Amino acid sequence: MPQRHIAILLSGLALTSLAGCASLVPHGDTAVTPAKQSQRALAQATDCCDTLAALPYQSLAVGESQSLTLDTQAPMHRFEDGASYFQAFELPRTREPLTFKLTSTIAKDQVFAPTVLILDEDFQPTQRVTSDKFDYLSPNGFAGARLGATFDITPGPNATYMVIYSNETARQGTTQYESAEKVYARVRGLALPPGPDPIAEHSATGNVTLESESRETGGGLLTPILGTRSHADSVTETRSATARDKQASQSSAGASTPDFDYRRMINAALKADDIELAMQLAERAEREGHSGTRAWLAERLRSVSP
Amino acid sequence: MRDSRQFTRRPLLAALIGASCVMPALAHADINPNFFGYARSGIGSTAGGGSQTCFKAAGAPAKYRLGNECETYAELGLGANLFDQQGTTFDFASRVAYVTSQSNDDESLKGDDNNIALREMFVTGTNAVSGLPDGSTLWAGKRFYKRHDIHMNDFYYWDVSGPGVGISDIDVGTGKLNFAWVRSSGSDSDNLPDEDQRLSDDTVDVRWTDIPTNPGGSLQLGVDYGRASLSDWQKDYYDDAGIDYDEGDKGWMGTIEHTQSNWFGGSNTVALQYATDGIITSNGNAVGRSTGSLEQEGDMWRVLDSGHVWLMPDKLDLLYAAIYEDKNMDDDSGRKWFSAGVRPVYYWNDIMSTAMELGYDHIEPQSNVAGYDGGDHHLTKLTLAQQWSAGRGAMIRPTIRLFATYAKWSGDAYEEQLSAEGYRQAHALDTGSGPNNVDFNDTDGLTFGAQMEVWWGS
Repeated sequence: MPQRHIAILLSGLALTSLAGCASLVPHGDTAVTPAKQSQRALAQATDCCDTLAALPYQSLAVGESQSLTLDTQAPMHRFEDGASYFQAFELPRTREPLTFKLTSTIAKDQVFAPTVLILDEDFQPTQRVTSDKFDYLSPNGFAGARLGATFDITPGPNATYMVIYSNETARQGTTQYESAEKVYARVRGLALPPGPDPIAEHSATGNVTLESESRETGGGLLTPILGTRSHADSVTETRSATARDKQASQSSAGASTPDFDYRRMINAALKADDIELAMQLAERAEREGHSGTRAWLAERLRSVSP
Repeated sequence: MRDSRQFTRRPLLAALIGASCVMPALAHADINPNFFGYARSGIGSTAGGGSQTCFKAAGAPAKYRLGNECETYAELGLGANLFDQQGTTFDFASRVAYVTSQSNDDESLKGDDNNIALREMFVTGTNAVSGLPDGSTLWAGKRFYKRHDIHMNDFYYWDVSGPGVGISDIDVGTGKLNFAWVRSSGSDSDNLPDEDQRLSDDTVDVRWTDIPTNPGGSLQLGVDYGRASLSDWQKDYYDDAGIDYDEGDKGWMGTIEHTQSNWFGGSNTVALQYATDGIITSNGNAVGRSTGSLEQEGDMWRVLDSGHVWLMPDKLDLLYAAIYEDKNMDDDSGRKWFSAGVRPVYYWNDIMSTAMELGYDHIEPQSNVAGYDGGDHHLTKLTLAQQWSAGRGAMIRPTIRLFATYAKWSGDAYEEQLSAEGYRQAHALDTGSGPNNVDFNDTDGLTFGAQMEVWWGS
């Protein structure tokens, strides 16, 4: 009996060793460059392009989730608010409102704090989702600790291109996050581990995922998104608010956002003949403090009706 | 065509706009449910035949769990933030636990080895009591209350969960104060005329937590006092029967615990506990609450150290635990228990890892123990597991693992004679941890199988 036990145990050892050898082939390894190293690499990197118009824009497929390469191999540009690795996209030539969800994963005590820049057809900045508009999202077993924001863009002459990068001010900040041990304690009803939560440095590189969805097909997504989304601010307003990037931890998106975005979205919905969506948007705008949006929509409907 | 569509939509628009006049009042009634929980399940066999045997030293309150869990166990929880205004929040949480012997597809939850249990149903009100420091939380209902455990052997050493009420996390500048009153119940079927007549045990739990001591270190101190709350007729009955209930129903437990974070990339916890009389039992695990017994007298010392460290950053980490417990019962039914274990895990990449768990339990019974080997006995368990997980780290889940476990113990596994019900009786091995498929006189055993483990919740 003992000999047979030993034989089976040795077989098990051999199997697991083989499995280990097989895994030496890279498999889903997420390389994370240490923050200091990526900052040094960024300082030495060459600007890819003289102007925003020269950035390498990729086409963006709606309805897909894609991992963005934001490592030291990504293109670098010196934006007006600092040098950064970036990814740039040409928005689909649709006038339908689109919902974007951008998440940046916290790994190894660091995170890429994104800024989203929207350019018009002449490559001039028109809107911006700054890093302080990204919420900290707790790990929940289905996804790790991360920064995330959801925002709506209606492609058109004023919103033709999207650039995702991280500005210099954001990289001075940090994000406090929940450790795996604390998550376990929280969901099992254990005493929470004492001591402060760990802190993630904002890094020049990171793991960022971009998801997009057409609002026409996004009925199921609509409700949760409307509940937590951020808004693409006008460039003018955001510039004055960049000092907030210095805040150590991320907080929820500011409540005071212009109704510009809502009315654009409502216009787009009306153009698409989707009055129900327009009304939902108006209601949501009212609830978020944009009083008058409902009346404005009623007026719009009156003007286009016989 | 266009006109007709607009004609049909205008009344809808009017209705919605009309209805929306009342909507702002309901805006904060939106509920985003929080789904949280824990689960483990798998399949296993014992070399030589039969389903998986799980190895636990008889008399020990815990066993090293990697590759050594024979049941499907799950906790499914639902909760929600119900109110959040001007800094005051009310949250609801509930949790149902399920256990089956994982022997069939269709398993009743009312069978001998199976169960469904309501474990939590409570509401917390943070900053609900004015005048208390920010973060103070009033709560009521049944709940898991600030439980302390060692994950590697599933050993709970401070756990006064149950129905209760309390106020927690009162920031006093140096740490936080927590007060709770919780209930557990027993039944004295040997003495009371009706075994359904319950003995209500009350425990008062007072903790001073988060006391800063050194960089990255914090201390917590706690006292639990429990006693049976006898009704007048129960007291009369015991008085008439000449049963002394004055001492055995009462007991207290004191806990001093220090946790060090920034400890080789992880943390270390060391705890010292002392408990008396009604808060301990000879066979059960002393966790700080009353036990439902009237005549239990003795005391218990327990010291433990456990933690998690990274030996090679992102490549090799280690869970470890060491426990010494001396339960000295007046009727000599106690025992000493020493336990130590390590679980190093090597991470081949972000997904796959190899884990090894080595655990040792030693039991030294007092002279009057019943139900298992009355002499010193010990159990050593070694498990090797190949794991696939959602990331690196000892506390990252979900995990799917293939495992092989070898265990060796002193003396016969079980008593040769079956119990009156035809079940095997414990000797060196406990019989309550699942199927008992090694021979009664075996001194070692090998099992293998697969298991998943997951927890989640935001």
